[in-house]
Amino acid sequence: MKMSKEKLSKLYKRIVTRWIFNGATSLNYEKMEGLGYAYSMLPFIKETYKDNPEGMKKSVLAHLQFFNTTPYTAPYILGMNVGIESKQKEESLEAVSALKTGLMGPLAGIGDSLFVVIPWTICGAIAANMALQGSSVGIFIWLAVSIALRLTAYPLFKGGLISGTNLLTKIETTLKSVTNAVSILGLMVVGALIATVVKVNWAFTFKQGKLSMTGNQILDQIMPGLLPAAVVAIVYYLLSKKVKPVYVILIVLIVSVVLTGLHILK
Amino acid sequence: MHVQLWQTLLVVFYGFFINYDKEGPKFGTAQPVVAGFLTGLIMGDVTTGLYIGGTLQLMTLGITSFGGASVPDYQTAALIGTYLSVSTKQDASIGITLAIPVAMLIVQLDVLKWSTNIYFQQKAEKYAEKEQYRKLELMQYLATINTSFVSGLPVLFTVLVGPKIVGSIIKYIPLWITNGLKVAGGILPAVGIGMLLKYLPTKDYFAYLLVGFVLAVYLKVPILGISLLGAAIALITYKNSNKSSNLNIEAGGADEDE
Repeated sequence: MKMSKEKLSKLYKRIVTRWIFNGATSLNYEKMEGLGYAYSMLPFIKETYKDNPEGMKKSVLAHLQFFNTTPYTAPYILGMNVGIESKQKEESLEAVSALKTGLMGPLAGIGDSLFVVIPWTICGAIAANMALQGSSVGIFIWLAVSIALRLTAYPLFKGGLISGTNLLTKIETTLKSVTNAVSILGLMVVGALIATVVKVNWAFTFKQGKLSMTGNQILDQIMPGLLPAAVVAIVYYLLSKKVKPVYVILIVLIVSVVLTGLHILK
Repeated sequence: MHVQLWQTLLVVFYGFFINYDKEGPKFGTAQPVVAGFLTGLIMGDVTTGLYIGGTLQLMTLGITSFGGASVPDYQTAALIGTYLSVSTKQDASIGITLAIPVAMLIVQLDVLKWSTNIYFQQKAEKYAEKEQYRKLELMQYLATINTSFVSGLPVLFTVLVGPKIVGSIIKYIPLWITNGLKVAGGILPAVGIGMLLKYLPTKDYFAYLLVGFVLAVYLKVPILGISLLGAAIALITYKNSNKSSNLNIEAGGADEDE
């Protein structure tokens, strides 16, 4: 493509911005993010195949095909696609399609844990916990993190553009140790959550002379947080027995109503 | 309370925006706790919003949608729960209980969206064949609007008829049920936590779960402090694992499986 550097980087920005704001909004069961992918690539395709309507059509149709990965990491694929297709034009379409298909799996695996599960767990836990104490600070932290995570699209696109597939395998090995390390952080936060967030109160009150103790006080003497830990353990057990989360929620609702009715919990 | 027109309009607009942000920009407004907070802000009762949003957030911690799986829509539920409990002056725990079935109902709408968007996809392919690329873009925008309906329609419906219906239903619910549901509100976060534990490598790193628990229960360290400590341990572990992989220690193996 014969374009000035500034015009080119403007075009690249347009692709990524299109992807960020509208990439996965047309999700469907048939081609998943296919339409969004083609839509995002359109400015590039129009520029590349300016004098070649047949090629333009071929490219658009190719990019309308099935595509599915984490929206966060997709810009890397978009970048690689642009990098290859701007040099090889229509001849590269088959290779590009293969690359897209090959990369979307691993990138989804990496993207889901690194961009979704881990940050959402940690930020979500902090924000929710602070919210329950009446503070909105955690929410603002989370909004900032969310926007920052999304802005990685631009450097990721550049990375894809410059590199080939070989870089990806390198990232993947280091990412595994990152994921492992961050899981530790996640688990510590969850451990704290069990104790602070799950609230179970035993309605029982023990009275002897002037001494009066609530059920919770008695249990706290054995171990603070015993009831919440027990509840989480039961839920975890049910979930590992492949009971659907929806049913677990229903069980919790019913058991709570019954036990409260029997004055066992309050 | 009397809900002003501007409040209604803002809530409805936010309702439509939620699912767009969830699939599109992902700027964070489609998280339950944020939805509760923002709705509380609009309705003039931030405390209730924070409480409902925070509780629902904890329930969803482990539930993240991958590869197109539909999961309960707790973010829209947080909006609806907050709106209803503030506008009908009910306890926040009632808002949570109302929100749970709403979240599960919206899943159906999500599935409907995934299906109806096929229409726009196929239309777009036809337009591409005819080289009408503007219309392809139009299909993308229409699908986007369709996506925002998933959260927008339930909110619109709630705003139109919700408070009246809910107000009259609540009158007929016996006290022992509402009390039980309040207790359930305290226990339900355990479900989210349990799901999260299933996703994380709990068995390999059970010790850290215990450390977090002990820090919170016995030492009363606030959650931010525990996160920072966790981050420190994670950093150390990461450095060590890099070192050992650089040295190529064969027998190490402790972090190999997983």
